[in-house]
Amino acid sequence: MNPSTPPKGSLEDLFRYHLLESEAAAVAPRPQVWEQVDTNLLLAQNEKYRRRLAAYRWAVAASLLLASLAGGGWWHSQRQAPATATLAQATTQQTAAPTGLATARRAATATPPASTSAMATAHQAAEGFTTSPALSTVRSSAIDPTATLLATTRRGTATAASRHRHGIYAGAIAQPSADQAARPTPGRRTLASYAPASEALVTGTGRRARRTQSVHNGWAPGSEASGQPAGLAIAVAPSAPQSQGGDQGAGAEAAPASAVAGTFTALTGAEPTAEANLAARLASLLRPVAGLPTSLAEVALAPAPPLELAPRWQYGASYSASAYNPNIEWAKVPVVVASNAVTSYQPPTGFTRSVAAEYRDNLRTGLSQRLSLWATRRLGNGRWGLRTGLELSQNTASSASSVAFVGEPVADLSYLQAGLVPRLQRTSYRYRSVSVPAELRYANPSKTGFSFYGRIGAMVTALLSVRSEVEGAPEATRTYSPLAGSTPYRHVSAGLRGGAGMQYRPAGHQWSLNFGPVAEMGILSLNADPSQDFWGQQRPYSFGLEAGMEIGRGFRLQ
Amino acid sequence: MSAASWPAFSLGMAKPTASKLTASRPTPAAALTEEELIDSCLAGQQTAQKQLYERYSARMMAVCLRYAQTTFEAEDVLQEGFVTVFRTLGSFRRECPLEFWIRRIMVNAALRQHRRNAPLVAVSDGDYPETLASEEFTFSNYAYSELLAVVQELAPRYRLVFNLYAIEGYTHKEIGEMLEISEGTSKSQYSRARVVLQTKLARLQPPIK
Repeated sequence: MNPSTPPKGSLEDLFRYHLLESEAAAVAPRPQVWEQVDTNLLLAQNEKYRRRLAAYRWAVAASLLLASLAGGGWWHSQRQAPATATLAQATTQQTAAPTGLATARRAATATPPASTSAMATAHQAAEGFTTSPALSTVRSSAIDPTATLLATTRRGTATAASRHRHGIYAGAIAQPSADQAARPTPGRRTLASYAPASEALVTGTGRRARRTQSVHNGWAPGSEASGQPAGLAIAVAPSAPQSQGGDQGAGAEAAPASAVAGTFTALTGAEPTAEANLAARLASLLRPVAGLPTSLAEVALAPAPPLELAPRWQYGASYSASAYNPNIEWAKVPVVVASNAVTSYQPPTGFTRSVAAEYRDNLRTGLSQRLSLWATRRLGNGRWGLRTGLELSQNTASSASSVAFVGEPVADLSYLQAGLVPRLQRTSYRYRSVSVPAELRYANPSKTGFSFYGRIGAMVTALLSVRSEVEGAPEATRTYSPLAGSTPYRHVSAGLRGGAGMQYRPAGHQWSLNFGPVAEMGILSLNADPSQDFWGQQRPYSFGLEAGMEIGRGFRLQ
Repeated sequence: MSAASWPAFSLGMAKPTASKLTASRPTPAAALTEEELIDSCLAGQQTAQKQLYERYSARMMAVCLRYAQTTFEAEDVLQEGFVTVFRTLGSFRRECPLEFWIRRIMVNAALRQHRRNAPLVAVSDGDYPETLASEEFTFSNYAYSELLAVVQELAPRYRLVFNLYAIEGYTHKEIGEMLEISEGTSKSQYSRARVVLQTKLARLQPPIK
């Protein structure tokens, strides 16, 4: 520009010269402005701290809630078997067999295969390796809450004792004749329900018990000759014909307790003192018991209330957090290059494809959160149900590319004009949507405690908004809504979803908790105009965990 | 980014120096460099924040004045813009001069202010001819304050379109997206603003023949 001639130009040049480039284009604001800015910064900082505090409070509250639920569930499960502990304690006090019923109950929980030998070692018996069919009946009856085993001592007594692997001797007072004991009587529960430990050692004194030979006493010196390890030889025979130790056991029935103790001591000479003590305790168990203590008398239980299906509709809410990937392929979308009034830029051929590949290479999953309100209609027997509802979702993701994809890929003109290799621009995305699912759900509505649930189905999703933010370029932010005329995203899409996990339903309550993994896969691509055919499209997906609460129970008590 | 990327480069401007940026307020002797200033602000130092504000507030106030109708309105925009600057400074990638990044934030703050106030502002075009012949203006015949006053007298929508297109360098398509109007509307409003400005400039200073 010639300094002798004053600068001239168009209207635009005139304003640009004075308002943009001139040294005069600087006007100091009033001092109060900084004070207001400083105050706003302080308020913003306080707001940030307040939000953080609120988040901490919610986290603590959620942790306390979970801990309370877990503790309550554990406490409730412990309360469900109070009678067992009471009976065991009573027996301990009354029969001088301190660990008798408790150990017997532990033994009763083992799965018993049929034994072919009446001679068995004590530790095998204690672990439930041997038993008889009659005892199996006893065990199964004991599980049934409505069944009761008749446990009287009119015809004699049978003392069961078992030796645990670690030297625990267990004694239990059982029915003399196992076949009678195994007879269930509805509405009553007696001690015999907890006496399957007689699988370990049962001495029957009743005539009927000897005849049936369903349970035998194998306590005899002959057991040593059968090659069993030294120690307390306890025999449980599944049936008389198969029991080779049955006669021996029968003979041993008449042996006095002292003789048994002496035999035991002779067999276990390694630790005479301890074993002698154990033998003495065993001998005390072998003494006939005249009758059950009064604390173990039959207790009449109220009949179980009938179960009836609850109303068919159940309601609930759930929350899920997943890792979400939009899995978008932008290859078909042309690159929009920012330009101004002075210059313009034409992208080279293949530019779109390369930056789209770069976008996909750097695409990272984000947090997906979904809040669901749903209703389930039970089908048939109550385990299967159809579920629908309303879900609000917010999914996030991020990527980095030299061309920021904000629904439309936009290039940075300054780099392109300068011929430089553009730096990667990190772009974050937030998708908000509402869905209506339809799912088939399996769960056991009548079972209390922990049980399995599973569900599978599909949902229709309407995209509410998509917000794209380019890091360091707030003016590049794009927000698409359903009302927007042109959007690169589908307004309505569909997807498949499946989940399974554990359900916890406390007894006597009208709610249950669900927790488990969930997976979701889109049927259609997220972008409206994919370049691939239907089967080759890139579809969004997510994997995560869900936690839910169901209101209403499958069965109700009358 | 969709905005015209740092139009100062296109216009052949050199990277502004610190002294140039603080023409109306001298920089302290112990002034930090731009990098140090950003780092100090990110560390939460209030003195650094104030120094950054003092370094750029004058030029940003000039920007805000172009978009606002009054000084008070411009100060509101400036305040909102600087709060945004300090809250989002961590996302600044330091690939361009800080001033240009702050300027973009100020423009966005002005647009937000316009959206908030748009229903309250009555637009009056006045009586102006439809078109005027293109003229050449001698820069020295006009002062900054005169031109600023002329721009501020424009109707809000005209002022926005004129600032965004003629001074900031945005395209009409981008302006349409920013103001949620069509590209054609942006062009027509710019044309109308241009006529108004030419008319007012003619009243201020007769053009040199």
